Amino acid sequence: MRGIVSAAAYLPRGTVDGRRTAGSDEDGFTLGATALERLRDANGGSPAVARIQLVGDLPTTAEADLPRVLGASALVERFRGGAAGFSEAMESALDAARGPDAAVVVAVDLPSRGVRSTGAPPAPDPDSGIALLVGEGATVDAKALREQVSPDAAFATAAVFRVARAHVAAEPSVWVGDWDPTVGGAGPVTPPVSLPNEGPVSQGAYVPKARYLENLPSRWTFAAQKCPSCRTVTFPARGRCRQCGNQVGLETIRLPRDGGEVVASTVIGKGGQPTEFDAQVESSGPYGVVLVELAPGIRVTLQVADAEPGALRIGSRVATRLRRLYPMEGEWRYGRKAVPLG
Amino acid sequence: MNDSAVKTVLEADAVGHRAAIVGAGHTRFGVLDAGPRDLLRAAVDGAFSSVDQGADRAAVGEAYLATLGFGGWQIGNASAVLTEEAGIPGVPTTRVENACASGGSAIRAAVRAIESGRRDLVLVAGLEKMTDVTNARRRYWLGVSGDTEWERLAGLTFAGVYGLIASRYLSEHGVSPDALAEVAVKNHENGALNPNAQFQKRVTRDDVRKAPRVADPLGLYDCCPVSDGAAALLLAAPDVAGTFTDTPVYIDGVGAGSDYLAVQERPDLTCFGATRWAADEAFHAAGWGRERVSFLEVHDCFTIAELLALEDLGFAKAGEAGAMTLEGTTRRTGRLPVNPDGGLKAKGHPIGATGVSQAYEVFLQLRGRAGPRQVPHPEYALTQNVGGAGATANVTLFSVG
Repeated sequence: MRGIVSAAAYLPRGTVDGRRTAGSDEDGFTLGATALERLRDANGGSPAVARIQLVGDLPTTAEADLPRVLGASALVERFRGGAAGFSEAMESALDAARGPDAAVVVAVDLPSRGVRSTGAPPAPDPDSGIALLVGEGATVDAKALREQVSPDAAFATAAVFRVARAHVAAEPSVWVGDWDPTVGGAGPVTPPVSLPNEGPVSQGAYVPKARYLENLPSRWTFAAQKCPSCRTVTFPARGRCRQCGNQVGLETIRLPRDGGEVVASTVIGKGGQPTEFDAQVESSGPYGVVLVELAPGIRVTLQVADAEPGALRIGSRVATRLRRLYPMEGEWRYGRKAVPLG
Repeated sequence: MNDSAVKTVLEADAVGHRAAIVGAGHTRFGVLDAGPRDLLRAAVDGAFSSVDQGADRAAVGEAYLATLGFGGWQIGNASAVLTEEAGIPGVPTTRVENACASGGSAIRAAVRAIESGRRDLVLVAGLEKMTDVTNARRRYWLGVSGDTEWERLAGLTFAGVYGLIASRYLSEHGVSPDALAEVAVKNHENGALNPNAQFQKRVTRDDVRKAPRVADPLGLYDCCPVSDGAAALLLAAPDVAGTFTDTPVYIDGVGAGSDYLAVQERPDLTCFGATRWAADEAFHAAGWGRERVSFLEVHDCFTIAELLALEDLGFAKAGEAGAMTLEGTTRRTGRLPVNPDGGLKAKGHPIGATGVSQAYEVFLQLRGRAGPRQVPHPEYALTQNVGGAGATANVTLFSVG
């Protein structure tokens, strides 16, 4: 049966008035990408996916960026938000006539911020992202799911949550991630930072878009390169073994995203931040930065999220999440941040 | 570099005086009205007028300008401003940029020019004008010399990188934050006696500990200030130094090193490999040992950096520089004075000027002309100048008489 092979959900940790609410460094892209990462992990790392259907309030950059998260090149189709858009996206994903390959529907909703695409007012539904792998050999009938989602629901993911709840306990291998908005929430969130048109003072320590894109496999998926001759692992990946200089036959591996250990930590007080983080400090105050050992001898510098700035100390184990870093030239730049493990 | 290559480099050096400082000039460091051209001119004029038997400007064969170009003032070709302001247009000139280690790197370049036999008199100047720009632009520039693609994108400037280093150092060695505070107390005490220093006032350990946090565990008083200033040196070939002065200060060894730009790529956070390599090279070149050193000028951009310097330079074992500092060994009156001019912490840190300023202090001290902050009878001195968080470093060894 062509249907839902696997389904992953992500809910922000923050809560406002009991509702799961995206934090200042989260948006449609980070919600969708985090769900997609979970889907990827649950399906052996890199499922062969031909198409990605996007539903909801995702920035235009997500069309190029979500396939990068998946680690696959896939045709991206966009649909309007709400249950109507979700239904159309599912139809496209299920349409076997368009090819036998698997497709992924990524749907996000940010009811806490209203949703531009539907013009819907803020509602008590949770902010969330879901990713559904649609293909052959499925155990969940997608048509039935689609029919159960009320066609006039403003927020597709919330509607899917309500329908999915019946399936989750019965099929835990299919439904991965956060399917229950009443579990796992913690604490208030700071409001989102609006995107400045021009970005910060654009000179000096300037990371051009091309260099940012070049780094994305290492930045987003912790891709590293293992040298076939000396076995050294180089991170960030630079197409060259840092030990012996070999550039031939380097094997790309992914370092573990979660479970790394903090080896150094600091809290950046007001005024200690680079200017591109000014808006963040204005809105959220001081932030933590930690140096995390991902694998023996391999370290990465990460900002702290979803916790007090000083919460992650030397020896703490951390998980990492894809988040907004800072705005540059009218776009958000994204990367991983460290959050408390578990 | 592998071990055999290191050995080859070291063995190629012959021992002896490599160059002589015959004149040195220095502006006030701090928030100054003077522009970059004024600062350069004042430092260079000071250097020429300090030459005991006078120096003809026409004798200068080469000029080096150390500057980061902070704020964007004349990033390209700034070296020509040096020869203009020195009144020697036409003289070959080069800008040397290694972030905060620019000054030490420029001195090294000048020494090499003299060692090559091609030049008898070389002008070295260091300059930074950091307070012209808005606060936002200044903070932007404070991060340009670190790793921009990873560390800065995580929200770090140098204070943040040194905050990470300090957290690791204190935790790994079980050192009390008092040791950091004492570095600031000691350097402010010295700065209070230096008329060129930005901060000429003492602070207490309590002041340091209670100051607002910039990058925990570092607070405001753990950080060097943002400064304007310039310094200049006249370096002569040792065999002609006597024509300028009877008491030249000799440079006996220069060493330099580098490391991964990003701290996250280095195996150890609590030492700077660049400093270690630079020190080894410099001592090998000088042919004399650490036991001779009367005092040190080290790169205390943050208090933690002075502790790392003492260990990396081989004057304290790993984790013991804090105790050494708390015992008073590094005070001006102690067994091994460190930063008698107040260091970057109290004297100020106009980026490109700092390495040159360290040599200026050595020039005064080794000639017994440092006034109230004079170290008793020094004969040998060491300067250590670090770029960023240890991506580059220079060590220079001096002697007199």
